[in-house]
Amino acid sequence: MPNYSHLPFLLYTPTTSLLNIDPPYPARRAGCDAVNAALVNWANIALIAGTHSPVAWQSFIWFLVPVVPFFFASWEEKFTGEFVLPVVNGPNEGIFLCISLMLAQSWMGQAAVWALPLSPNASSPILLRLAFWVAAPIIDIGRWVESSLEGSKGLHPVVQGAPGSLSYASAWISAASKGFVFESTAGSALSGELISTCVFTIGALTALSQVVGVLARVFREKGLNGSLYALSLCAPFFLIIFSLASWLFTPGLPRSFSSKTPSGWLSVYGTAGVFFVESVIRIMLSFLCQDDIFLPGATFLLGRVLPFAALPSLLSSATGKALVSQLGGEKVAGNFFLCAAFFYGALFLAFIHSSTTQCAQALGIKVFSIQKQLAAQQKPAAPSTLKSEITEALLEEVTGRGAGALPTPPVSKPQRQVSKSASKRATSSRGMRQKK
Amino acid sequence: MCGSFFFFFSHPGFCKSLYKKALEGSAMNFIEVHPKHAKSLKSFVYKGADLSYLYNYALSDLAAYFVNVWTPRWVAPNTITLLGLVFPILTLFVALYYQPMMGTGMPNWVAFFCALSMFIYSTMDNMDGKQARKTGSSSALGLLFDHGAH
Repeated sequence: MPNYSHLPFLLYTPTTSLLNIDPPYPARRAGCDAVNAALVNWANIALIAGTHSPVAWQSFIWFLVPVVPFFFASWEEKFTGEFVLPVVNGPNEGIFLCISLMLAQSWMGQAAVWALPLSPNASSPILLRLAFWVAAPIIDIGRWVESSLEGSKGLHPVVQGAPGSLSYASAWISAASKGFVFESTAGSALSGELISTCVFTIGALTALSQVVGVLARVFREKGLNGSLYALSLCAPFFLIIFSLASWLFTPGLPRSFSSKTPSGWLSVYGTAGVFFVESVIRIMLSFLCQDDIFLPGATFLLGRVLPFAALPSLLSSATGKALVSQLGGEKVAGNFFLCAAFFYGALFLAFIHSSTTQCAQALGIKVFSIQKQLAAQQKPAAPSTLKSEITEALLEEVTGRGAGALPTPPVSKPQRQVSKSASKRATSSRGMRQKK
Repeated sequence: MCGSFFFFFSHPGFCKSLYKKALEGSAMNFIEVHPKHAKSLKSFVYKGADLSYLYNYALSDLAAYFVNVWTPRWVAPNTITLLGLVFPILTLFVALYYQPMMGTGMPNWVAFFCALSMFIYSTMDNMDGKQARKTGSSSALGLLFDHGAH
């Protein structure tokens, strides 16, 4: 009997990661914010998914799944200047689905909830798998072609989102029905690798379609040099992933860390996560300040990420022994890594503090307080249920009727009475923080 | 002596100078925002939208209710952003306590805690932008803090 107890997180993850990919609105939010995606979400997903070993291939994949789209969404936002969530997206529908299933699990118990007859019949998994393996690449290729067409408005967003989500969901259901998703039974010893490969394929395809779509758009607008420059800025991401892989797959190291002491692997994942967050912040700052000096450059890559990547291989190849044994045993090594991660984490907090403080000084504002004079002078710009201009325009395209024709949400009267012109004024004057 | 030693190192001026030296001497390649960037930061206009029906007809109104009714005007949006991050981190440590090596068989209440913290995180993530518009404190810094630092 397959164990479906981890289905919510597994549904949440691909939903969060993958459904944000919908040209012709190539820029979108990646679902989780940087720290949550790299340092918190990964561990939560991997823990709930029960991968049984933090240094296994599956855990590495779970790290990649939220991180890949987040990095490329930031990268995309820099080059396109837009950030649009499609009709079905991870931050809303994915989280809602996950919360619902987790609540049911907590109320009825894992066994009772996931023993429900949800799995398809014996013949469907083959079709579902076929649907995934065939439909997903076709959809992705179609997106590449579509995004490269000049002046193309693209498919209807709902039409775009539905086949992709169905194919991805079918892949999960088919895998779950075969029992090789979550529970390593005697007959499915290689199940984890199989499903990890499946997730990795999905993530790689999606990221590739996103990169190609953005490159096509940049090529149209800025030519070959612009697209090559954009492509070169993907290098930090791949180097960070390589550094993490070198730690996890260096001979001897994973086996040494497979103990009840989580400090070692937490430090390794944490350091890679911090690298990732810093690269995202640098890209965001570069986008906000319109200056490429903030981008992750040689100091970041050669000074920190590359030594981190090369350290285990160098030490292991020098003596032919595992790094952990050289450092005086597992416990000592774990503490060493923990101290190193704390040290780097402290530096990273200083980095965050420094960048936000300087931005605040440049803007003349405070990070954690509202200036009373400013708040007193400026009355509320608009009720918070107002949608921005771009939201209204896109909703108009989605519904074919326009945002004004949509049923009015059940809000209070003053919020309904604000006109579109008020929204426009708010957007142009101080509506910079239009996130959601 | 121990007290004076502690007083010396806890002195704000000393800590500040030590902090600055640490920033300058570290390999972090710390960011320096020049005055020329202030113009770009101030003129930045966010272009984005959420086309989700669930958000536009339910979650947005819920977040707006919490902002308009329960959130005082003196609460900074970035504070809401940071508070939201506390909950998934808390969940992480709770889950790590029960399954430090990513096994299976966590208690049911952990699942409820996961759901609750995820809901709070999502709602607060929706609230910060609304609070910024409510208080007129929208800025590029909020975007950076929300997407990057949060």
